[in-house]
Amino acid sequence: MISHLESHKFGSIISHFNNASIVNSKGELLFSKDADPFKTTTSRLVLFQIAKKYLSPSTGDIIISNDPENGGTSLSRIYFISCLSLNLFLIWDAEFYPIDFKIPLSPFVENGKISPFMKTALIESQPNKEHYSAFFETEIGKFNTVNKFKEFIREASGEDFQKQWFMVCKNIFINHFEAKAFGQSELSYKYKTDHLLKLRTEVDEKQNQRFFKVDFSGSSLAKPGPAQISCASHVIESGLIIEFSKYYALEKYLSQPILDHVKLILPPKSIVSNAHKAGEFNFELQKMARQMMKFNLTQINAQTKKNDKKFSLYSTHLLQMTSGTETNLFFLSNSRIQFENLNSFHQKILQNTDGEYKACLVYNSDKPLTIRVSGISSDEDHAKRWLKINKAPVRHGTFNLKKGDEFILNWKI
Amino acid sequence: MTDNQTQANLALFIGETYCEIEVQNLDHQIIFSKEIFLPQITLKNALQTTAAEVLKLGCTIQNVYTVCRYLERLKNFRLGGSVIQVTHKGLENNYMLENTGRFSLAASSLIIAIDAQANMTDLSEYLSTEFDRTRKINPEANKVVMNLDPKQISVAKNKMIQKFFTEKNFKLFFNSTPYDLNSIRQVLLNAGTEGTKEELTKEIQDAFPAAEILFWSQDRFLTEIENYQLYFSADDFLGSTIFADKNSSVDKVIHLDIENWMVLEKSHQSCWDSPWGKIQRSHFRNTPLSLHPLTEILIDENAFLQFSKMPAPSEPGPMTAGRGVKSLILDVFFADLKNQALLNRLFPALQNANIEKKIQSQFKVLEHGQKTESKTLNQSDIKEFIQELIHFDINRLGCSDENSLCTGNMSFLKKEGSKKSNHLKHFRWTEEIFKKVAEVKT
Repeated sequence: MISHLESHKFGSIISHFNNASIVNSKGELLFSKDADPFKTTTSRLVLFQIAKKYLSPSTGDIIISNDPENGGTSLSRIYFISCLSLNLFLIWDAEFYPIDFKIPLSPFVENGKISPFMKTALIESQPNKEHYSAFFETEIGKFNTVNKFKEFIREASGEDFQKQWFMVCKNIFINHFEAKAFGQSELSYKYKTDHLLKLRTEVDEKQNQRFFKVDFSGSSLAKPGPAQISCASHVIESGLIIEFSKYYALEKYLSQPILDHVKLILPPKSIVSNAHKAGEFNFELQKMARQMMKFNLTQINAQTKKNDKKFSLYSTHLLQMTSGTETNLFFLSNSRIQFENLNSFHQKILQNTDGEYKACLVYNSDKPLTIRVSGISSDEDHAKRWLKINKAPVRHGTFNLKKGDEFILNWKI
Repeated sequence: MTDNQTQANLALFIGETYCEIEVQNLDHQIIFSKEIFLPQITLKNALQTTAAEVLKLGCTIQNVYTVCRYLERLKNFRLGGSVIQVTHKGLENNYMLENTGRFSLAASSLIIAIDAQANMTDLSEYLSTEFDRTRKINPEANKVVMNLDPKQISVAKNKMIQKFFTEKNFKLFFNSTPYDLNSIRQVLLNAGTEGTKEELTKEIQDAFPAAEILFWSQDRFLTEIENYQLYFSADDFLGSTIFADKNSSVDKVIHLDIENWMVLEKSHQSCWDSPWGKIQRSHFRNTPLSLHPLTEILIDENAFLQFSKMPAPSEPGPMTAGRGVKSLILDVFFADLKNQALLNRLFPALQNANIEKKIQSQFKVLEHGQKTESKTLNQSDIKEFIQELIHFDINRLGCSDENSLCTGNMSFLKKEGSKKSNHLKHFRWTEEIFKKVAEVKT
């Protein structure tokens, strides 16, 4: 009989990945990990189902895709759907910024070897093919590392193992919920003046079964054309599932029996259920849904009288700074700031006093820099958290910087 | 007795939790050796005892060759509580912005941010006022980091600030690139760990006043070493020892010791992703395994057996050491540790039947405290699981019998591969230190 400690083994074999899931042939989730600020759990599960339906991967195969309108999230995030055995599949995703074209669901590795067609079309036809080659080789290397665990793959592919593992996870879920509150909480938030996000969260028990319902009914419909602000439902689901598992300390056991207790209602064609062709609003809508979800969960579990606390959205940003073939990320939230490197900036100001971070960074390179800003700029938060480029406020979009331009931030943690 | 016979050298390994001491005369004969568990006997005490024994044998210590892991103890702490930082206005704590989740290396309230354009008189007055302010915050502060760009501040002003702190008996540390966040961290870390290093060297010096103290760094023993380099002293040494043979196919060391489980690789990383942020320091790639020998085994609020996220502090240590009260991973292997000669010297409690009973009953408590829907894990199950997980980790990190060696006092945890004779390497720090000394001399 296996124990809950198996999660450590799953964790060990996928530790090379930032975001990865292990599923069986039915697509039932056995184990998952999401370490990037943008969460992709459900996106991976959706892509697995599509890949299975249309391409039926065999052992040693890897299928790739990045199509934001078909299970993917953005062109630069590549999804890999791989087959470890007939009843065990590994799906992971990784960012590769040079890719700015759509890759439809395609067999990339067949029976352990890169498809010659894909090698020519995807790697060798690129002007910076070394860069492409290095990225894909690294990803295949990670898959090969997992594939070394033959014995565990054989064991975890077994129905007995999976049945026992699901039972362990289910028991943990029931156990965690025993002492938690029932109830419901509803929240509406007006976003960008004419978009409404409405979230109703409910925790209830019927016939001795706890269930958890998240309902976005009543949220605005997505507008067509250039004014479209929306994202695919799996983007929101990924965020909600992570928030839910984090709140109830179930991250290590996030698996199918837990997902089966969560009912998500995302009305078709609404702003939370309509893929954007470039995934431009994915990060901010996911973050927004997570913040709303966390608020509702806190309300349900609050000891004090409900509705006392007002919901306030906090600002958070993810910046992609690209110059030539190099991209650096800059992440800002209410609890942390993290950036990869500032070598091409001169620090006119860069200071931290009592948790208030201020920066005035002067771009100092002859190569132009493109900054892609996504995330939430909350009006409630504006006095303490804001970004500017050359004195003009920056909230969302793509900006070009040349030598001498200033990137300014004020961020309170 | 000849002059030669009165001279001796001392090899010293100062770990995070334990210490190995060995004295050899110039004919390479061991004349004294000792192992201590630091939470139970202080380093000072052990060194003084050694000095007395060596004296009785009519020897004096010429050199103390040291390999150090001691500073690992500071890895979970904010540093710089007694460090004043003089920097340019606008650059206060700039190194923090790269990753605010990392520990701080300097107290914000002890920063003196200057305007380098101010005239000498104003700057002097400002410095004096600010110094008085920092005195109220921490009157014990005795180190200062001069984080000033020579292109922005005149030599005269720079000298004035240095003189100001020198007169107040401060120890000065310099960083002339205040925009280079890696170099700021490096210098702040030097300042923040200065007290610990001073204490170490003083304890050695007090015991062996005539000896020269050398620390291993990179690929040699040095008399002068920057404090941040000490973080890699043991890894550098282990790597230099195992990877020295250019004809060997070994490029990984699985090190399973009582205070550290890791895989050390021959390949180098140029930057150290430290608990305080990135610091430029080339080192052998080092990956800790999922579990640590001092990881606590506990029952969580839902009655499931879990491993603690962070290892337990070395004080009071495992139950195996005698005084511990928590069940740590090391305790799971009590019976196996008893078979290790060195560990018996380090933990005399291994021979104590009462300690053995205490450990067994503690694991019984853990067994009965678990929720029964899941599998109930006893000490033997936990032991088996830990070994499996170690195997997972080392497999994931690419270790095989062909490319790796296993060292450390707990190398018995490594499952035997096909080449039984090759994959385990007897490794004793002090013995290897003397081998290195001999190598260098020849």
